[in-house]
This record gives sequence, structure tokens and C-alpha cells, in this order.
Amino acid sequence: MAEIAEQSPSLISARPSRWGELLRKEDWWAIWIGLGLVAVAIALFENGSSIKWIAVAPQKWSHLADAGAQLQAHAVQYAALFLLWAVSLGIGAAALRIKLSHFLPAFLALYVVAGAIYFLGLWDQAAHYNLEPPLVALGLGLLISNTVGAPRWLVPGLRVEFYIKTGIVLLGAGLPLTLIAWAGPVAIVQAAIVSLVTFGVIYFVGVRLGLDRRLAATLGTGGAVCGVSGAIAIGGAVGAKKEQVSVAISLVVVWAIVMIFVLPLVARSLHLSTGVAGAWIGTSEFADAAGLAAAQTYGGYAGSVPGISGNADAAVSAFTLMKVIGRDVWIGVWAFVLSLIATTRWERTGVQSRSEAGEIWRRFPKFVLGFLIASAIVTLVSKGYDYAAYKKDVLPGLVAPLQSLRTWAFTFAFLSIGLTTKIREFVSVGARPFYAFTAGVAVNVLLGFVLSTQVFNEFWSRLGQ
Amino acid sequence: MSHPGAIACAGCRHFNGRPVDIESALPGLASLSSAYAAVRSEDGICAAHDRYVAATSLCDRYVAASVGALTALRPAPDSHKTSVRAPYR
Repeated sequence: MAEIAEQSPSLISARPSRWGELLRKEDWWAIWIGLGLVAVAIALFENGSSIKWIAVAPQKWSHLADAGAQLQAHAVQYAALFLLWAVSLGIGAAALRIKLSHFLPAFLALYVVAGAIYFLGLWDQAAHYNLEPPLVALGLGLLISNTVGAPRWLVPGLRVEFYIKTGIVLLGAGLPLTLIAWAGPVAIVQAAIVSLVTFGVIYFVGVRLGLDRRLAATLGTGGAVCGVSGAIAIGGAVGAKKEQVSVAISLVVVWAIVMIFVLPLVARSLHLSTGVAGAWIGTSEFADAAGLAAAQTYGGYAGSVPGISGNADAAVSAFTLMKVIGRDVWIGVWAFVLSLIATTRWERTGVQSRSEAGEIWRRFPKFVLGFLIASAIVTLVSKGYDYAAYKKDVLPGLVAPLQSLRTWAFTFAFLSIGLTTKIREFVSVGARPFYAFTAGVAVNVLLGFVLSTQVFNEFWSRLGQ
Repeated sequence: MSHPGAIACAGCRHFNGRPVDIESALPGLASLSSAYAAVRSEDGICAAHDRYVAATSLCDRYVAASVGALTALRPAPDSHKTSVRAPYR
């Protein structure tokens, strides 16, 4: 206690300031970057111009020569787009204390490979050979990471969450606020049912198998709420052992990657509409980035795989409503409640958590605010246009270029997932956590399927029309 | 459990809340989430208890860190390679 008595006031105030979070957390940087791009796009649009020149994206091609010609014709635009991303993401990375001299070369390599994958996805035979960009990005990354290994200099550029959150903010620009208000309540109800049941199954099976309650709770929220983010939020809130958090992360990552491939495959074999499949993926995937990879893959089947109805964006929209609005935003509440239970009901650990309602806001995934604000702004801008004028002017001049930027951001993320996932580095999880988590996965997938395809089927089908 | 006079983990020598160290101590964290995420709040790794704890937590083993250590000289978390293998088999 002598050290405590000697404590200086400067030490006590050494906790990071509340406002400092605006610069220290990637959620806020995703908002600044995403909303900044939306603001520039709107400013140009309102002045009769557009960001579409710089928001360049590959077009459909049949032969390699066509792709080469496309690339040559738009080379300056691709270089300018790289600069736009490098500057905006680079500022964010620097604020997160990632050295720019390390981030930029890594990001350049990521951009080039992501561009190649984006091009490959636009090949007119891509769907025939299952070459959907998210799966190719993920598969390539996993292959490299788990064989020769990603080079060390590439690691600073592999910021999965930074890219995915920026993409989700941009995604808001393509979703009318009225749609969010219409579908949000259903998403919340469906997600609440599945989250509570999944958590209950993992927690009670885990405790029944003799797992520590803190581990069971960390596994439960990892499976029920928001994957790895859920696991670290609850691990910290209840004061779990470090190895318990590692076990939960390993299980979530492995199952999430399995589901990226399994969910679209099963949905495709059942010819689910894009809206319904997106809702199922949003209910049953564990992490935002993994789920968006699965949802975007499925959206790519629309129009190219016979029997799959709905538009391509419906899968991503339904996924986002279900996962982000229905599940992610509640993580602070889960953390507060479980922290309270851990402090008052569970065995002591030597570390005492403080259960404060402020926890709900501190752990709130702030990027969701950017998603909602982007939606509100673009809805407001589009308000004066009738449907014909919207399709003629607003869509190509404002919304489509922002959607193109979103696709780029997502592709950076999908590639980064594979390149950062080294299966051999995961801790050995043991049989009991595996059984508990897998029981939750099984219930989650089945319940999510029934709710999406039976109970709320009509609702999610309409989303894709 | 009471901790008379104890000060929150954020100012303790045993506590490490640096995102880069947390990501290296928890393999897979950066694959589908991030130590820079808002959901992490200001949590960190306690080297004394080998636990992942909130920065606002309290404990009897608090040892004040020097001002410099709060930003630079926190103990590095154990490598994941030293974790007990399959502890819940």
C-alpha cells in the first residue's frame, strides 16, 4: 500500500480521457473516414459533379485482354483511388499509433491484391467456378497465412475491423433510413430470440460440463452476440483469465470461418432468396467481417445462379440489419449485466470489477452511429427526387460510387481475415469448451434458419424485391 | 471483497492496456476483431493475475506504475506460446 500512498495526482488522472477516444478508437475513425467520404460525395453531387471518377470499379469482362484494356484505360483512376484510401486510412492508422512507414507499403500490397480479386469477381465465368471475391480473398489469405505465412512487413496493413467498419458506415449511405426503421424492429426481435437462446445453451452446457462460469459466459457471448468482439468485451467485463479469452477467440474464429463457406452453400442449395439468406447469415454468423463475406458471396449469386431471387444488395442489407442493429448494439448491456452477476454471484478472483451503467455506452460499437448517420444524410438528400429521378441521377451520381468504395473496403477486410488467421497459433481449446460452443452453434444455426425461412420469411423476402 | 485505498487497474504496474500488446497476447483477436475497437473499452491484461480485466477494476495487489510506464514500459503480456495447452480438456 506504500506505493498507493505515494500515488501522485498525475497518475490517477492518467486514465485516457473520454474525448480522447474520438481519436484512439478505430470505430470513431471509421466514422470520420466513412462520413467524410459521404460528405464529399454529397457536396460534389449537389454541385452537379460526382465522386464516380475516383470511385472506380472493374466492369464485367469475358477475356483477359478485356480486363487488361479496362485496367489500362482507368489506370490513373485506380492510382487516384489508391491515394484516396492511403491518405484517409493512413491518417486513421497514424492516430491509432500504427507507423505510417509500416502501414503504407503494406496497404499498397493489399490494395493491389484486392484489386486483382475484385477484377476476378467480374469475370463473366466467375460464378460458374465459384470465384466470388469474398471467398477468393479469404481462401487466398488463409492459404498464404497457413503455408508460407504472411510476410511481417504486411501485418501493419491487415486491419480487418478498421476496413469492415469503414465499409459498414459507407453501407449506410445505400440503405434508406425508412428501410432501417421498417426492418429494424423485426431484426431486433429475431436477433434477441436467437441471442438469448444461444447464450443460454452455451453457458448452461459449459457450466454443466464443469467449465468456469467466466469462461462459459465469454464463450456464450462470443457465440450469441458479436463473435470475437463479444468475447473480449465480456472477458474484460467479468475479469476472465487470459487463456479463457484466448479459448473463446479460437473457437469463434474457427467456427466463423467454417460458416463463411457453409451458410452460403446451404442457402444456395435451398434456393433461398437473397433477403432471407442475408437474415439467416446475420442471425447465425458470429462476426461482422465473416458474416459480410458470406452475405456478399450470396448476394453475388443473384442473377447468376438460377432459382435465387432477390437483388444482390438485399443479402448484405438483411445481414447488416440483423447483425449490426439486432445483435451488435446490445453488447454493452450484456457486459453490464454479466459484470454485475460476476461481481455479486460468482466466486471471487482477486480482481473486483466495478459494474457501472456507463459500461453500456463505453462498449457501444460506435461505428453503428456512423452507419445510421450516413443513412439519414443520404435519405435526406434523396428526399426531393421521385423514383425515376432517383434512378437516373441519385443512384449513379451519389449512391453507386459510395457502394463501390464500400466494396473496396470490404475486399480489404476479407483479404485481411485470411492473412491474419494462423490456425497453428491458436491455443488448444480442449474438449469441453468445444462441446459447449458447438452445441450453441448447432442451436443458433437451426433456430436462425427456422426464424428466417419460416417465421419471418415473408418479411425478409420482401426486402430483396 | 473490499480493497481499502486501492486504485483502479489502469494505473497499476501489472496492467497492460496497449492494443498492440493485447493483439499479440491473444492470437486470432485481430482476425475478426481488434484491440482498437470500442467494445474493448480500456480493458487490459493483468500480469499479476494473468487475467483480462477492465481498467476500472480493483485489487489488493495494486502497485503504482511510474508515469512513464503508463505509456511505455508496461510489462509485455505473456506470449500465447506459454499458455497452458488444452486447460479445459
